[in-house]
Amino acid sequence: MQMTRDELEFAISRYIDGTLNPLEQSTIEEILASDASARALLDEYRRLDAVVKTAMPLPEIAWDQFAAGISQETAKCDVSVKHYQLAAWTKVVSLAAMIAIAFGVAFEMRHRDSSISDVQTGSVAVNSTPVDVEISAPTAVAAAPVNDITIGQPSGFAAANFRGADSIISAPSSIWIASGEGSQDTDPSLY
Amino acid sequence: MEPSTPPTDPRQTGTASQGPSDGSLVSRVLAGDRKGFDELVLRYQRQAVAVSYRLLGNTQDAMEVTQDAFLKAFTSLDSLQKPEAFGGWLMRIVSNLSLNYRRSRKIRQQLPLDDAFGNSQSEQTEGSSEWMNAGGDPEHLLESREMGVKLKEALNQLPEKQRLAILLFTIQEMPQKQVAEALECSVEAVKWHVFQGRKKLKELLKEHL
Repeated sequence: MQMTRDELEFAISRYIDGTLNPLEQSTIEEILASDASARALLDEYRRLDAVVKTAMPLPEIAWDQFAAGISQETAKCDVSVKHYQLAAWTKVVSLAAMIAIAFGVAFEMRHRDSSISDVQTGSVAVNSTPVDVEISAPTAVAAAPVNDITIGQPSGFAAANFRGADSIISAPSSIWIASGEGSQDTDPSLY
Repeated sequence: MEPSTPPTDPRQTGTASQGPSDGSLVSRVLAGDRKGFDELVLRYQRQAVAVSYRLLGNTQDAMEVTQDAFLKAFTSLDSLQKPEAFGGWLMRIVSNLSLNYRRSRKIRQQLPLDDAFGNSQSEQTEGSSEWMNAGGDPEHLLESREMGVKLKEALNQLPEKQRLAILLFTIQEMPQKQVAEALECSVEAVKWHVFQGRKKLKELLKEHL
């Protein structure tokens, strides 16, 4: 198989990495066995690889301490990845509520559609006979002058009697006003 | 000359690490078990620091960036679409943060204030960084230091994808699939970036090989 110089170099690069498929590998090995310049190229790439891998050694690091430091830092921002899991019964209730809402909306839409379509489909008689329309401005009436201004309860209001109102509006037996820390419900079973 | 032993690459399919898979650890963390993340840190901290270190050339900076990368991964873990791809995703965060850090450092070094300090710190971090000071006899130390400087300069001349492909695949020996996830490209593209990077490095370092 004839290869260009670039193809040969690419194949040698992958040969060093061991990323050639078996067919490509046997092909490149045949070339290397018969071509001195290909072998020289392989040597160059191997020397380069050795330099690249050894010229930058990693200094000693106390890995346990480093990992502990990261663990401490992640503990501080634990809240940001907190995931709330709903209990099984809340999922069922949520689903039921969603279905109920969906049905309600659908029913309402349907109801509205039918009332609109009643109007749209109803026949309307149009009288096409031309008629004369007389438009006249209303006669201006002079407003009576205001002589007396009364501020306060008009006379006779006191006699008004709202019987039965007290039976509609009744005072609650107790009022609970929540404020501050104590007002928060901390019972975890509720969530 | 006989071509030496046919290379085989265990990284091609991704190394199967011991213990629970990355995916199950990610799921545990998302379910509220933070200990799962500690295990991920233990699993990837060396790789993450090494990648950052080789991009920045300074241990302190690399550790700082790696810590930030882990925190970012932790807080945005629920955005990870494939939990099994955690490793590649984390390396993407590490390399992005490292490159951003390096850019901001370059900008800082260009400020007149640095000149007032004689640029000593910037020279240390950019020119003769720590990784060239690693042990050995003085002669070997000098050689490796020179080689380290040359390699770093050559790596810096590569386009970003090629540099990262060389760093993650050739130096860090990460599986190709994970490198592809980190670089957001295909496995075939990783092979191509590695090759192109090698070709340029060979040209840039030909006097030293």
